[in-house]
Amino acid sequence: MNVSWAPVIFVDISGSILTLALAFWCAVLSREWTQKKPDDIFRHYIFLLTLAIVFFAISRSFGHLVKQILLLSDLESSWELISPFSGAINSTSFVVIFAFGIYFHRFQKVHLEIERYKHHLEETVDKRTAELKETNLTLETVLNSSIPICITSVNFDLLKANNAYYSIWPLGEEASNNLKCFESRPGSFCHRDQCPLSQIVNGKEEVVLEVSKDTLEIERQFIVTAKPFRDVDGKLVGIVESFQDISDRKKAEIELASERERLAVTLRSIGDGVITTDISGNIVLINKIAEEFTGWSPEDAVGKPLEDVFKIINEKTKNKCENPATKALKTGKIITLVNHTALISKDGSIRSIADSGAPIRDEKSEIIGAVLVFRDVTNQQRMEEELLKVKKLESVGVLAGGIAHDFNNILTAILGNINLARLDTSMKDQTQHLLAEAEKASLRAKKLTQQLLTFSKGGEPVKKTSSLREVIQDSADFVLHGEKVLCEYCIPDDLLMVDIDKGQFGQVIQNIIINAKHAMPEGGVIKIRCENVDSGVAPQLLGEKAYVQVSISDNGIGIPANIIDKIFDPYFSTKSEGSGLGLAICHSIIKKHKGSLSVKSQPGQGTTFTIILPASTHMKEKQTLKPVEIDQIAKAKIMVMDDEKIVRDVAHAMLSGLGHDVVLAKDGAEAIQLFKESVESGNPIDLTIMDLTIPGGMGGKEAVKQLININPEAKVIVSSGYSNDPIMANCKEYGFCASVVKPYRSQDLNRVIAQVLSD
Amino acid sequence: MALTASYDGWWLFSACVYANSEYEQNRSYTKPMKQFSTFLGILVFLTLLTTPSWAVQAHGGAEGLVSHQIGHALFILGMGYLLFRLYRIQMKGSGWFEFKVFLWVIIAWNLLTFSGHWMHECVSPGKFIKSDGSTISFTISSFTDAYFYLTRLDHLLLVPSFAFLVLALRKWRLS
Repeated sequence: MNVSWAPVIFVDISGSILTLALAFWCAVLSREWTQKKPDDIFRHYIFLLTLAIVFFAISRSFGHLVKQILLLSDLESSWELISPFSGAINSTSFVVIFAFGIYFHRFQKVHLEIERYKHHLEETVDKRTAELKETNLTLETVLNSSIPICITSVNFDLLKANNAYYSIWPLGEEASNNLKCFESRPGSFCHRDQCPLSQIVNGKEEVVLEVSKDTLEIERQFIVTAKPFRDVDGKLVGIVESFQDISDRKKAEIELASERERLAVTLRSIGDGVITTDISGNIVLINKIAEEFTGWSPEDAVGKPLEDVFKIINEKTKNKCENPATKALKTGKIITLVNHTALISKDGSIRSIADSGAPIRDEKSEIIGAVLVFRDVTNQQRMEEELLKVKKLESVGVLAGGIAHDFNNILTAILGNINLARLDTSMKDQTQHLLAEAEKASLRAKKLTQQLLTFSKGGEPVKKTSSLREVIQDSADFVLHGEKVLCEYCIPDDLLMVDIDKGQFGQVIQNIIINAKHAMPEGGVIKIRCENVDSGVAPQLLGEKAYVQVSISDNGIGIPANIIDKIFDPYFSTKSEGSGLGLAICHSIIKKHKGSLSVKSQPGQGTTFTIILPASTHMKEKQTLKPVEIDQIAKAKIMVMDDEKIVRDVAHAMLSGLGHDVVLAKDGAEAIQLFKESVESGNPIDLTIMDLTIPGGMGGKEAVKQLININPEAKVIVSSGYSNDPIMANCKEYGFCASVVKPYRSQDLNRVIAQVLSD
Repeated sequence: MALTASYDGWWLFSACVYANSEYEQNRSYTKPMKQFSTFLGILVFLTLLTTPSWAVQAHGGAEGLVSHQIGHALFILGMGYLLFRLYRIQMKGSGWFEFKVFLWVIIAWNLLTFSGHWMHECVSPGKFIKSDGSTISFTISSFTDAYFYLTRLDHLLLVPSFAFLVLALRKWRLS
């Protein structure tokens, strides 16, 4: 069977053409696929394999096409010439394809291994990347949680900074990549040798500086720490800087310094001495008052043991006292000094002090030192001593007052009866003499009683506005009359008036002058100086603006220091004939005049008594009443009211002897009754003499009011042993016409009656 | 010339074995590729420049056919090995099915042409009826003749095989 050869030719030609086309397409596709992942070795393998197959396809298809063309062109001989080459190329391509084929496994293994390694690598990279990211995140978090930090290049370009940095020095809108450090954070050391960056660039390993930097708001203070920033090879590539903001700390330091200054000023200004020590007892601080008291300057005192600076002794025993600060350090308690502690200053002067020592504790209550606070109590002690003295005098006064009152009543009877007895002319001269002596002794007793009354409540001064000149000169001249002692006065004409009881004040002057005279047995000069002073001179006296000071100085033997504090005590005397009441009375009198009496004395050189009295607000001296003629007295009906029968009897005898009708009453109630009856009977009582105080009954003070109520014209004389009682001094203010002091003599009584009845 | 080509083919085979051994020794991933590319370049160069003077021994006659057939056999072995490895590693995914089909078809084409070359030697030249020197028909008197005639239509396998290769590459490229 013959079959046409044409299909063979057709399939050969068309197949070759199609194969060529497909081969080229394969080459293009494989190339594109490979280029999509150039690092994939397996794709390269497929690409090469495809190329080998394409090469085969091309060579074969091209050969077949050439063959068909030559055969159809009757050029078989030419084909015979070419065909070996075509076949050889085909054969070669087979071998190449074979080679690629058997290498598939290798390539595939390599591919898988690479893929595995790649996968492992990618995993490692991913893991490392994640770790790096985490580390980066941690670092970023740490970096951004910390103080401002930045990295600057050696060319001073700002490379990196954290959020804290940018919050202080934000990047401006115009900020470029190479923003310079001095543009980002201008400061006091920019472009100067002290610049920390320059110092690091010049080789320093660390620079720590305190600098001020401009920020958005204000200039702030920073501690800048700069360190080199190196690469892995150790080459310096930049500088790491951290900025610790110390603005608040600086502010706090300034405030602390201010507070310290304020505290120091307070300590300097405080009225008490303050010394602080450390735990070892060495002085840390000493204020101005303490400096003044101790005589140590802060420069000398600070660092020295407290005992060297603060030397204290017992005033009485002179023994050294334990330091309260040292004791406070030991015990941890607040220690107060015992009384009579004296501080010996650097120059040896001694002053009385009161103080306390307390431990200084820190915030953990640990003792870190001690503080000593002390003050000068010398004046306070003197005041207390004065007060004690006054109290002693008052106690004696109360006792004396009671005694004197009773004594006066007794003396009234004695003196009155003697006085009446002496009126008897039939007595012998000898008897008269004895009665005169008895009367003289009674008058001395009266004087003593008056002195005792000075201490009593009834001894209040009867003050009148007076000039001191007359009182002082009269009193002094009286005492010094006929003596070898001369008195010099220095009394200015403009000396202010004072409110004084002339009698009491004269007594003071006399007592002091007598003492001065006794201090100068060989004679001498007593200088009495008066002057107006203000309140600054008499700080112990309060309430007055102006004072008058009287200084009485002698150049006698002086008063020993050990007894000078006792001279104002009652019954203290260095003289055998002295009563010991002189200066005590002076002190009491001056106190009752709201003044002060002080003494200064240097043994062998003399003594000065200083009296300070408040100046009077009145400018004129009050005038006293003039006496009247006793002979002109008319006979009158007189009532005597006294609780003491002996006084009533004596008064009755005296008044009867003077020719008066006498009515007696034992108390105020009876007196009022008798007065009423006399008025009602039409024979009224002309004059009433009433005792001021009636124990357990109505006294004269109350009775006189009722008598005046009965008869507004009633004349009443007040009689009392309390000669200095205000009622006695100002009797008219209480309704009395006059006063008479017990004990009284007949002539004393007659003078007062005459005075009253003549009005 | 056929002898020379044959010699070159064996030389190339030896070179490939050498490259493979080099790979085994070096265990480098990039070195074998470079070496192989170098060998491939040299091979192509030498093939194109083959001259008779290189041959010490004369090769002619049936040696050319044998060499070509060995080439086909190597082609089949190579593709077969490739196919074996693909099945062995159970290579799946887009395009690999088409690639396997390509391999199967190209192996079939090789077998067909391999057998066709042998058949050509056995077919009597008188069975080619010529007119003016050109073959116009073929006398089929046996199964062998018919099979020979069929082998001459080998493009019917070659073109589909390349079509599958195109499909495989397209899928890979698109994937």
